[in-house]
Amino acid sequence: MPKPFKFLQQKKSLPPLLKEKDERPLSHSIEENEQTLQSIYAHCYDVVFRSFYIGGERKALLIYIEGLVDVSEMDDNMLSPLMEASALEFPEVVDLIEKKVSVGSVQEVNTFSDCISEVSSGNSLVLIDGTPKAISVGLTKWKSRSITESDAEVVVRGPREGFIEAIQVNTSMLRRRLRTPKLKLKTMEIGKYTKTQVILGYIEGIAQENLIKEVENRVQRIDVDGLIDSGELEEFIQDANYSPFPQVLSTERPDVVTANLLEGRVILIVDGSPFVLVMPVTFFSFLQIAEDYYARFMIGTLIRWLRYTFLFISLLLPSIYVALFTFHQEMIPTDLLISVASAREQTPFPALVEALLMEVTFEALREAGLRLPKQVGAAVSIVGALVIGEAAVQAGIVSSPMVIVVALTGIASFTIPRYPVSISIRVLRFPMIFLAGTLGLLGVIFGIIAIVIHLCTIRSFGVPYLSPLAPLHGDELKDVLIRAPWWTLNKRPRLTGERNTFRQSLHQQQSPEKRG
Amino acid sequence: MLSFLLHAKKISLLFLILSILAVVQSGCWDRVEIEDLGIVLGTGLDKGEDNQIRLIVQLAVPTEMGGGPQQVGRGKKPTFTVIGTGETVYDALVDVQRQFSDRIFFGHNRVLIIDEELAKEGIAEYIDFFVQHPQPRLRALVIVSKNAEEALKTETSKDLSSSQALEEIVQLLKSGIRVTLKDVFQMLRQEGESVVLPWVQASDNEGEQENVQVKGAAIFDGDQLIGTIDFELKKGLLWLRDEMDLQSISVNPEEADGYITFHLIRSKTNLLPSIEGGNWKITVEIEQENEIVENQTTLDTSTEKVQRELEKDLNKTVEQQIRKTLEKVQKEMKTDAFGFAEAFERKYPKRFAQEKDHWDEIYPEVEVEINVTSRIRRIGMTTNQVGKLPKEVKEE
Repeated sequence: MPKPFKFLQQKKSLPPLLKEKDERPLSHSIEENEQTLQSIYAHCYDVVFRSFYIGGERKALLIYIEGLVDVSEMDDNMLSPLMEASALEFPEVVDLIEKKVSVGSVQEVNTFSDCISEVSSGNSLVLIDGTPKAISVGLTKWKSRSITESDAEVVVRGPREGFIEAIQVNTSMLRRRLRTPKLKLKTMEIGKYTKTQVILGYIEGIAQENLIKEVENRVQRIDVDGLIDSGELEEFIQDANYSPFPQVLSTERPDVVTANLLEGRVILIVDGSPFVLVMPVTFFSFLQIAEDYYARFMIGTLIRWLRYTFLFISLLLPSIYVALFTFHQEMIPTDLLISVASAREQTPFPALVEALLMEVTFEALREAGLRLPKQVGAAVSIVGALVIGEAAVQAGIVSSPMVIVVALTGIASFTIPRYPVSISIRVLRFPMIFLAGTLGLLGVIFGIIAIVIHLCTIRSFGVPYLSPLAPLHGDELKDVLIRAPWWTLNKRPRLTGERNTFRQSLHQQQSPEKRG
Repeated sequence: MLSFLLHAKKISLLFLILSILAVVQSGCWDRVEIEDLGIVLGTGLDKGEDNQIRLIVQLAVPTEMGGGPQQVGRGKKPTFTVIGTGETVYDALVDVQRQFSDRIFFGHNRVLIIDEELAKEGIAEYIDFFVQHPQPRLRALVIVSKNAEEALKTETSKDLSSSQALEEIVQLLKSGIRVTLKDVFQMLRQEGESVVLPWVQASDNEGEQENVQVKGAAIFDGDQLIGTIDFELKKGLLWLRDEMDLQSISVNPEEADGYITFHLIRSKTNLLPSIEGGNWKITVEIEQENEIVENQTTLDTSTEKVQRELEKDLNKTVEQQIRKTLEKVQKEMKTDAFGFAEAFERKYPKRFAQEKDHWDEIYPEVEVEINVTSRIRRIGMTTNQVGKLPKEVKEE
């Protein structure tokens, strides 16, 4: 790493933060246990300690966190049966629970640390006098957002539901789409304080073992105090962090995740984040959307090419404008040259400065429009359209062709369906403009070559970023350059689905049966 | 190992710095903002005093040409003409640059107008600049004019500049020979072939709308202008050069009074050379397709017989046009404007190489046989003239 970036390097002597566990076992005396737990949960008003007697004789203690537990269910199915039961009838705790507690998810707990994690995740804990064991009863229920349509990935045709923050709801959406025990969802926990649940999902028999192992290893090695969103996790596990391009796909749509699982990819769901991570991915995954596959294949292909075209416009249009109008005037049609020259007659800045100025302004407008409360958002667009668009041109500060170029570039960048890549392209636009303004088209070509070389070097979990284009794999291009009809897409992508090559039987195009 | 890594780091850092410096330090040196360009639309070459060259440069005034904010225009002329003199074209260009504030930019030069006086002395040496220098485009049209300066200074009614007008007349209407700089070089290179350029003139008639118009063709011998031919004679030239386009042919049929006018749809000319003993001969095969656009006669053009007759008349008319031109160009001017030399060289490369030095003597004696095949493809919306009563129409 070059010196200027040295501060980014981790110091090796950093002590491991976490994972000190209170492995003490529970004691036989319920008073002792209560004291210990009380001291652990000191100053936590939302943790409820409720003492009661089983069958009016044996002392028991119920601990739960208010707001995370379904209280009425707990009363009906646990508290009242236990209180009514005769303690002498059931000397063993296990018996008691098996016969009296009418709740599905019940678990025995032996240590304090397990107690804490059970209570923290919303289960109710029952301690009984005379046994060094506690019973965790899964009666969790808390408020969560209802399932709505994804805002970031809108489709005209296709399923509308999107993931939400609650991880159980998200996994249920996946399980509903993949009704097979082969869908594996392994749970992990990250964060000393947040104890965020992270679920690793894959389809057994399709996803490659070493890929699953690699993802699992990377996630498990993460040692942090808190994990809030899947975006954080993405940065911890992705391969080339110093690249402007994302190497992990994040999506809000369960249908996208399902399709990726079927192609042999691995997913990570983070509790509290509606964005599910999919890996490994290629550059082209970011330019394809679910609707390509739901629309008719010709339409899908055309839309895909529209997107590719506008990807280049978004990256190159301002730089080509600057390069042509400052270095290669002979390449512009005469009439256009004269009309632009006349528009630029009164503007004070060189084309390069003008382009940078306008692009920055546009980015600022976009960002402002995005962050402002919805009620104020309209004001921004008015200011943007009127002041920047019209007034600036009339005042002779910028030329109108430049405004057109910036507007076109802006529209082009919105046609890139995945936000992270759209941002990368926007960022790369600025060095490109600068190169165009200093070296002309030569600079633009340098820039393109540098970007292509960079894209060729990136790998996402072992998969080359530009595959199947580089390294070339002709057969797979039919899902990249075009969207081939479904009945020709017989194979899974080679690099992720090699274990289980065929996804469907051959010759699936159905037609009327031929009569003999 | 570690030191090697450190070394690699240093090198990569050095490389980074150097590449940034390369961009920052070297960049911009040939950067020109377009508003600082003097965009040349047309160039004229004229003879000056003391064997000097006069370079007439027509520059665009973008703000007057429209496209920008409305208030910029000041109602002045959309073009601006600067004249420079010098020993060579570039000398003259430097002289022009001295008189003009913006950087002269030849990348959009559309026409090169050569003055007749200069053309008579030969154009090869002056045209050299336009290939040697990277800026001028080889697609610029080359035109000969009686007075280059006047042609460039003419204000045209519709187009913004006379250069544009000339380009459009010559190029889009195709009513003349279309020759670009590139073509001129190729013609000059071709042994024995003469340059033929469109010949234009600024209209000088009193009271007429000021304009530039194509008058005919300028015929060169080698690179020297030896004469001009008018529109009538130019037709034959175009037939022989296979450049005929946008042509109307009027025929006066023997059987009836008045004319029938044809519009040429397409034509193809083949020059077939043959040498028998010492007898050099060219057979001109012309195939043309026409449609009837006007009928002044009483003939019913829908009948096949009439059509056959008309086709024969067409053949004759075309042959006459060609004969007239041959008389003037081949016999009088004795210059090969039709590409006969090339045709012979292609078919008889060895023989031609032997006789090359005598080509000037052979050429005027080349026998020309003309075979025209005309076809009437369409007869238009009516079969006979609308004004005539049906009974007047001749029934065959």
